Amino acid sequence: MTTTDKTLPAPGLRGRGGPSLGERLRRSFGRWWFAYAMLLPVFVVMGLLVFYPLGRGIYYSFTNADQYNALNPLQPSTYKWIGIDNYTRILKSQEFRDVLGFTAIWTFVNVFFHFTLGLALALALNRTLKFRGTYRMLLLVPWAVPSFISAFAWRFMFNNPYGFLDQFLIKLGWETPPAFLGDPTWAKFAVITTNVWLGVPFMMVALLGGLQAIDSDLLDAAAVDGANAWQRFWSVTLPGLRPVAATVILLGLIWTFNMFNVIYLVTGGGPGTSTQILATYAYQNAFDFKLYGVATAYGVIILSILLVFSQFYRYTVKRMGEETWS
Amino acid sequence: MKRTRFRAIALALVATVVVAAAIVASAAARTHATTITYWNTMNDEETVTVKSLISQFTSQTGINVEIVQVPFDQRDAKFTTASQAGKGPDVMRAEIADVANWGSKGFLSDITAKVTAKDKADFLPAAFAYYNYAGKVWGLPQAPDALTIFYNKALFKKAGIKPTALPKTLPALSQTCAKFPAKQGIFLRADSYWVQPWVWGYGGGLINPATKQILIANKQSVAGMDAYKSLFSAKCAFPNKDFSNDYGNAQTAFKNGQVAMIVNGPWSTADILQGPAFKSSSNLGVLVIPKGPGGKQGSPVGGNGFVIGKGTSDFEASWKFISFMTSGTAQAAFAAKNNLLPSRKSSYALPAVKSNRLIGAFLPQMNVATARPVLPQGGQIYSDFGPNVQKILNGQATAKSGLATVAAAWKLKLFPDYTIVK
Repeated sequence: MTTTDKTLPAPGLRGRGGPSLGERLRRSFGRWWFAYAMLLPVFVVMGLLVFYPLGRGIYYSFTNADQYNALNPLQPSTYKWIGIDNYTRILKSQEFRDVLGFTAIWTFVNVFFHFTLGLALALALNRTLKFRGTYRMLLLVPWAVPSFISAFAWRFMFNNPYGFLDQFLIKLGWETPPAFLGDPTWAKFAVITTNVWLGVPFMMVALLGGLQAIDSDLLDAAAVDGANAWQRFWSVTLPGLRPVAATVILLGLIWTFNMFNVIYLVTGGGPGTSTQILATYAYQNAFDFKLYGVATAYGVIILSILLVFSQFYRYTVKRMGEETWS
Repeated sequence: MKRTRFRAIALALVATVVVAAAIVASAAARTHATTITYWNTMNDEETVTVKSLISQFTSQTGINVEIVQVPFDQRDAKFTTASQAGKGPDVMRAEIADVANWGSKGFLSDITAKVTAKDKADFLPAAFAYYNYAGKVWGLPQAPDALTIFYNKALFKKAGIKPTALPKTLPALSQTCAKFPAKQGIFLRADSYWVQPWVWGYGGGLINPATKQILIANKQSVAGMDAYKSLFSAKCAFPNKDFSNDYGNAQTAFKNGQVAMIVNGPWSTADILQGPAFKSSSNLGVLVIPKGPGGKQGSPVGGNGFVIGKGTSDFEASWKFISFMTSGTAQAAFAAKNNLLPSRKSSYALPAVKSNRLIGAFLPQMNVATARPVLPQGGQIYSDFGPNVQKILNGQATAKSGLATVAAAWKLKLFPDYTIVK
């Protein structure tokens, strides 16, 4: 919207003594009513599907709503406002710290391996080699298979003692292979491995797209100037990838942070609570413990963390946009 | 250009006709017969039986039953969520602890007026008790059950244990296990329901509604948990290192003859008897869970039955269905194919039940099993209990600290007015 109408002063640029507020609103509406009318359906749908549930959720997080006093159409609701009690209880609890800690590990370790492995595979595929199409198709398989099927497949592979990995390690001479799903640390390893496997193809495809957009003349010029392979990668390829990489990493952080199915289906958050992340823990509070107030408070906490991520994302995109245009 | 437009119009026309036809067809189908939805939580072998019973029911009554499979451990989450949204099924298969829980929240149809005095007298009191809550009847019991110990007779013989020398107490059970080679004695699960025979056997408990006490963290409960843990990690125990798959792994190990004993209930026998170690079904022995050192017996009474959802579209059809599913016919089928104990006294006279060796062997276990309290929270105690049992068994917590966490969580979430007994 760069066109400005000379007959109407732009809002905010008006001097003193202009038309009154009511008059301005009336004029603005007279001018833009059609646009508002066009937007109305979207506002209504967004309101019903996004803002109303969001508002209700935030409201519940300040109440003691649970299975006995709320959300039952057959009985009167008797839950009451308890202020920030849910939040203080969560933030003070050791389990929240544990869950948050693993959520952070889960998110960053996953995205790190998604990116590095995805980049390595993208570089390997970004050259002329035989059967490139076949490789690319095969590498996309993890992404094409519905994630719950992959999650179950991994769960069977990690099974101790009947799973593939266990039997394989025994064949290799390891007498007692680790308890992939029974030991708290190994269970963390197991869920992260599963999710890395699931997430690499997307990174690979996105980065391959980024690599193919890099002008090959730049690489040729660098080669002529005597840059070795590493220098070309470091000084030409990586900077060229930056716009794509920043976007996919930030998206990956958000997706992984909220990745529910892998944890729920591979370990169910166990053993104990050692592989719970915030998303699965909020689910457990809502549907196992049926503490709706606490669960929505977890939801609001997740939302606030994601808001920080998305603000950072917007900031990065904006900065990159400026770089591109300047 | 013209041709594309023609194609598009033709396609749109075809699509419209198809959609219209589908709507007409489905409307026509709906007027013809009554259909009720039934959410089934049975395992694979029981589901085979239930499907053949349903087709029998449909041909007798003309009522169609749409069967929806719901995983047993997700039944409460799914049924509660659906009922809150007014979208529950007509008929639901409920574990005994669910009845008071769902009944208290108003999710179930009251069937008090439908149950005749004759039926009331015919159902086993121990099984029927769970379907009564707040003075009303909310469902009908299908099959009562209890955890018991299954053993491989051939392996016992090989280890030199005589049929007369079976363990009578929990400490003796540990000694029996020690007579087997490493990893081949017993497979114990890391599951809260499965540790109850030990917790109760050692004189502990879960809760006592009469005195409003939480007993899970008391000395006896901790002693029972410790005893379970020491057998769980004994040399003779099959190394259970995968808690999320341990139900299936225990079955596999036992079916293959890799382990001599497991703890499970009647519902699992149809699966066990398919295993290579039980080609001859007489190789399967049933052992009543031994008493604790103080003489207490602690297998929890369990079982399932059928309830009718509050929002049912057809109460009469649903009632006919649950009556049929708890009739002598149905119980004979479940006894013959799945070795499930009937909930009706009269069914025990049926030939299919009478001649069933395993049902005969379960009865002593049923007779000594410990009743679980009929409470709305009865089923939900396991949500916090389970993860903490896992922590205790893999060494993240001691029995004492883990059970103290359970007690605190129960007080916070389920029983705010109870006191925790130390």
